[in-house]
Parts: sequence; structure tokens; C-alpha cells
Amino acid sequence: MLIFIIRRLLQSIPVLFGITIISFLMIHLAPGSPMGQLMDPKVPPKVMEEWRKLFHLDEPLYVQYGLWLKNLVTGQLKSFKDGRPVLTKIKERLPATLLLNIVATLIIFSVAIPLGIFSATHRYSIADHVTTTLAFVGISLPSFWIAYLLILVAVKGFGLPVLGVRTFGLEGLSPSESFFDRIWHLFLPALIASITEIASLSRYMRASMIEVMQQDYIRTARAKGLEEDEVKYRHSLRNALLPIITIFGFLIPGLIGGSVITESVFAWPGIGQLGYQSVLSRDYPTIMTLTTISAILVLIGNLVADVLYAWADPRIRYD
Amino acid sequence: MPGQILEYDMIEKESLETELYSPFREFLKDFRKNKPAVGGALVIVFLFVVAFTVWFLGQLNIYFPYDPNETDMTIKLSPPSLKHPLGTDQLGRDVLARMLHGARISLLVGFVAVGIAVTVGILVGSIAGYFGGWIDNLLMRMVDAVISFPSFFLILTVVALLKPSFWNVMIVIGLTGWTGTARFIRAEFLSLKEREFVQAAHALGVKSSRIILLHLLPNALMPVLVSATLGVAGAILTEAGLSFLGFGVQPPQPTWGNILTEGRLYIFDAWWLTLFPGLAILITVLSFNLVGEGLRDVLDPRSR
Repeated sequence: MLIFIIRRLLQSIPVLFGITIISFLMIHLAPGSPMGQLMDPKVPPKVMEEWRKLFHLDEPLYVQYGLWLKNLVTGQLKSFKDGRPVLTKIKERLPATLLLNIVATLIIFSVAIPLGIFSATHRYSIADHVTTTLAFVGISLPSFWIAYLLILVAVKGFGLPVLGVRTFGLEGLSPSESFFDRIWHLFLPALIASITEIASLSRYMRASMIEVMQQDYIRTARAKGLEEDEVKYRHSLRNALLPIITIFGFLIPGLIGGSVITESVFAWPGIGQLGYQSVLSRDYPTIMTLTTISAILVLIGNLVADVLYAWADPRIRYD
Repeated sequence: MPGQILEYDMIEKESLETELYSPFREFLKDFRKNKPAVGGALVIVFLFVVAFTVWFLGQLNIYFPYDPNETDMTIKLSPPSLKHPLGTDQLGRDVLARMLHGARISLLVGFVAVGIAVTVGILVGSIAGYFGGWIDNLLMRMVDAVISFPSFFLILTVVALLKPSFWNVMIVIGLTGWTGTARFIRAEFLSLKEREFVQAAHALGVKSSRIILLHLLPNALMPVLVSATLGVAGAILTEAGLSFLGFGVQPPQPTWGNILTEGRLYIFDAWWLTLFPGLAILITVLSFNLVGEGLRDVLDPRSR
């Protein structure tokens, strides 16, 4: 197992370099320059040249790539936009994104898994048809649209504030009021961030459970006269949960990477929003760093998924 | 044994009613039993007919129900009424007309993006699976790299930097979505190429390109249809998401995504600008998802 992990990590290195080189080229070869966003058109060309020098934009691309890599590793990489270190900017955003996504993940698992189990054990009942229909709708929903509808209902119908991490301008609340204010501000974005995943995970859980319930060992369990509940929740469920464990691995990238759309809709000051802002202002170092971090997370997530699966299911071996 | 009787039946049928039995007919029969999928297919056909009729009439300068770009500030932001069933937007344009004209864009983005993705996927997958060795290794590492890209963020970055346009959006969505098809085709090819009929073709001296196109690909293609159908749904959603962030197909060309985007500025005064285009996206994406799942059920031998 250890050898498998080490081999996979080693294999990831060239992939990672490939990713950074490709994104670097795409970002830098795209027409336009960050100077266009940064500067007033009235700025004299001479000053523009100095700025280009300052950001090394006058160097050949491979030199720029080398500089980017060196600065990233030494933590010296600075944002084009405000000259602050990129890693500091990302660190500032991390708590908000983590909080949002941990809550969303909890919602996803605690809703989707019982829902999937219920659907599978009540296959073809009216309730199953209803959850199946809802799951299809959930998968097909444009998340920003449903977010806006919810905002519309919350603000127009109930007069509740929804944007940001807390109600703006409400200072001097008692600790408990302030706590509930924050919970409320967390609730809607977490809900939006989890709808699609709830829908797909519950389908996945249902399929997994149904497949297990058709296995011979389940028939054996029934044949030897076990209680139906025992068959369902001990024999079937444990095996049906095996493939679900890998989902944890696939959630890692989203957990830290954040969601551009959800965070933009709710003005949530997380990493997704930082990404969107840096795209708007062509902040190349920040875009590159975020892309690299996400790629690393995807690679780690895949590895974690494989390892978890092998850990949970002794039939799986990687030799 | 029941299996044998079935086989006997099929032979009987084939010899007696050759023109009646075909795998495609069987497939249609199974597909028809799946009501939601049939419903989805009907919705898609309807959307296509409407979108292209409206577009065609527009080319002839006949607009139904109104010219989507005709502004009339005297009726701006008026709620749904008999005259304007879905209301008007901030420039007094008819929302229904804009949505009808926007339907073509959503469908085109979905189909062209998936077309690109499937083409690239089949190409890479066939080459990797058929030739194996270092070519396979190289191509699969490439697949790994593309899969590890944070896809929505990457699409956003590239589209934003290249300047958002109809073509850029389609190409970028297409070029990030081919990896699933490539992996699948490769896996199918790896097992298919060991089969007797392929070995026979080799022995007869058939060219590689011919083996790939005529012997291997037709046998691996049906499941690609499933992922392509689901892919259209995904591509339409991605385009809508890009539009929402301001990087989709640009106004004045109406699309469902950019009607929504313009509408969110007036969300508290004109709910119809948000509700209807989103509903259209939902219904379209849902239809493609239902058809895709239906196809999967029919094509999956285990579900028979």
C-alpha cells in the first residue's frame, strides 16, 4: 500500500508540472495584458514600461515561468493587483471557504445517504418516485438561479438579510444574536452549495444499495431467516456504503477550492470569490497559484479516494 | 432451459421475419417503455423545432411574437400580461421573444461543445487503446492532467482572457470535457482488440485505420451516446453559469443565461426576468438528463 501511495505521488509530479505549464501558457498567451486593467489610459507609455519591468512581463515566457515557480515555492509571489503576497491573500480567504464547505458537506451526507437508503429499500414506491424526480430536478438546477429565487423569497417575503457573512451595520448585538445572525448567513449558501451534490449522491447511494440487495449473500441472509431490518441495515447497508466512502476523496478539491458561483451570489469572502476577482483583474500570479492549488487538491483527492476504498474493502488491492 | 428457448425463439424470428427484427427496433421498443425519457425526448424535439423555426423566420425578418431586440422604453419592466406573456425587460424588450431566440444558442452550445468533446475523446481513446505502449502511456498522462484541471475555474479563466464569445465558450467547454469518453473508448478497445473478429481482420491484413473505424468503434459507440447526452445537459448548465458571471455569449444576442444575468439587477422589481429563463434552462437540462438516464437503462445489459 505504501509503495502504491509513493508511486502515485511520484506519478503526480509530471502531471502537476504539465498542468502548471499549460495553464501558464494559456494565461500568458491570451490577448490583452494585466496592465490594461491596472492602469489609466492616460498613464504615459514610459511608466507602463516600468511597470511591465517590475512585474517581469517583458521577459521571455520561460523566464517568467521560472520566476513564478521560484516565487511560489519561496512564498514571495506577489499579486499584480495590490502587491500583497498571494499566499497571504489565499490564507485570509481560507476560513470562510472551509466553514461554508464543511457545513455543506455535512448537509450533503446527512441528507443524501438516508434519502438514498430509503429510496432503495422502498423501491418503486410513490416515495421512491418522488425522491427520484426531485433528484433529477436537483441535478438539472442552475445553482445561481435557485440561489436568486431563495434570496428573492427571503428578502421580499421575510425581509431577511442574506449577503455576506453577517448583517452589515448591525453592531453591538449580543453574542447569541450575533451567533444566530452568522448561522443564518451561512445557511443559504451552504444549502445552495449542497443541492446538486445531495441529488447526485442520493442517486448513487440508491443504486449502490439496490445492487447490494440483489447479491447472493443477501438472499442467503434472508433464507436463513434473519429479520428484514437486520438484512437491510447490517448486511446490505455496510456493503452499499463502501463505494460512497470514495466520495470523501472527491469532495476535498471543492472543500478548499470553493465555488465561484455560490460565493459570488452570496458575496461570501472565500477562495472562489478571490478566483473570480483575480480573473476579472487579470491577476496572473493569483490565478496561477489558485489553479495549481486546485490541481494539487484534485490529485490528492483522487489518491485519498483510492486509498480509502482499499482500506474499506479488503478485496481491492493495488499491487 | 429458458435461455435456450429464448435463443431458439430469436432464431425462429430472425429466419421468419428478417425485416422485422433488428437491434435498433429492440432498442426503440425498450426506450419507449421508459416514460420519463420519452417525455424528455419530446421536449427536446419540441425545443429544436421551435428554436429553429423562430430563427429561420427571423432570417426572413418575420418575428414571432416580437423582434427580440426591439426596445420600447414606455413599457420597460412590465409584468407578464396577455400582450407580453412573460413580461418585458429593462429596455422594454419582450421576454418571450428573447427566450425563443435564445433557445437556439443554448442548444447549439450544448451540442457543439459535446460534439467537440466526443470527437477528441474518441480520437484519443481509440489511438491509446488500439496502439497501446508508450503512445497509450503518454495520452493517458495527458488525460490525467486534463482531469486534474479545476474545470469550471479553468473554463472561466480561459473564456475571460480570450474574450467571451459564442465560439470560445463552446470550444473551451468542449476541450475540457473529452476525458471521460477517451478513457471509456480506450478501455473498450483494450478488451475488443483481443477478440476473434478483430484478430481475423488483422490476419486478413486489414489496415489499422479500417479496423478502428469499422470493427472496433461501432462496438464501443453506444455507451458514448449516454455520456454525450448527459454531457449536453452539463454543457448547457456550464454556459448558463458562465453567462451568469458575465463571460457567456454576449448581449445583444439573447441567451437564457444572459437574460438571467441582466435580470438579476432588477430581481426585486421584475421577478419574471429571473424566473422564466431559469425555468427554461431547468426544463431543457432535465430533459437531456432524463433521456441520458433512459438510454443508460436500455443499453445496460444488467437492467434487462
